[in-house]
Amino acid sequence: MAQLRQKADDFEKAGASVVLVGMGPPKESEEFLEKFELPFAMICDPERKLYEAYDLKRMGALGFLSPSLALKSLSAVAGGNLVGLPEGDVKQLAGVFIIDTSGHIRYRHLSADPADFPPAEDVLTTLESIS
Amino acid sequence: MKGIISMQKVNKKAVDRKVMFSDGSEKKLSRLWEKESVVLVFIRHFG
Repeated sequence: MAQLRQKADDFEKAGASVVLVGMGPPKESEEFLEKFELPFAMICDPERKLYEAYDLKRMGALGFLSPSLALKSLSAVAGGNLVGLPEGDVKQLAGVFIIDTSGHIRYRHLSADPADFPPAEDVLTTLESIS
Repeated sequence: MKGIISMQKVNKKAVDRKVMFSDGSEKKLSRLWEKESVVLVFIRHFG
């Protein structure tokens, strides 16, 4: 999230808006945006219907044992981002889609595990390649 | 190109449906991309 926030102006310059999708209800979603100072719109999908419609993956039972997840958690804590109590489906994995003005998905990244998330720089580079 | 490595190229019509935003408003997803491209970021859980 911090990477996305830092690149917010670059996404705007690239002619795209960033929209988040989360599993929280409106009140918690607004608090999340405020807490992380995210200048983006956020869709609330508590029933995960949009997650399912976009084929986002859910983690298996062993996903929590992922070494990469442990490393990422340690890295987040070391960077001053404390890991709080999770709200929402903890098995739900993330994903990123680039949708053009014709309504076509041009690129997507479906996370394979909780630590798998494309760097904002990669998303931006990909976005610029289709502009 | 660096970005192509982590992002998978597809060419598929995006699902469009009415959604609710954190400010309580509701609108169809297609309203988001009618004027500019959209980076839709599905996050995991809060916390």
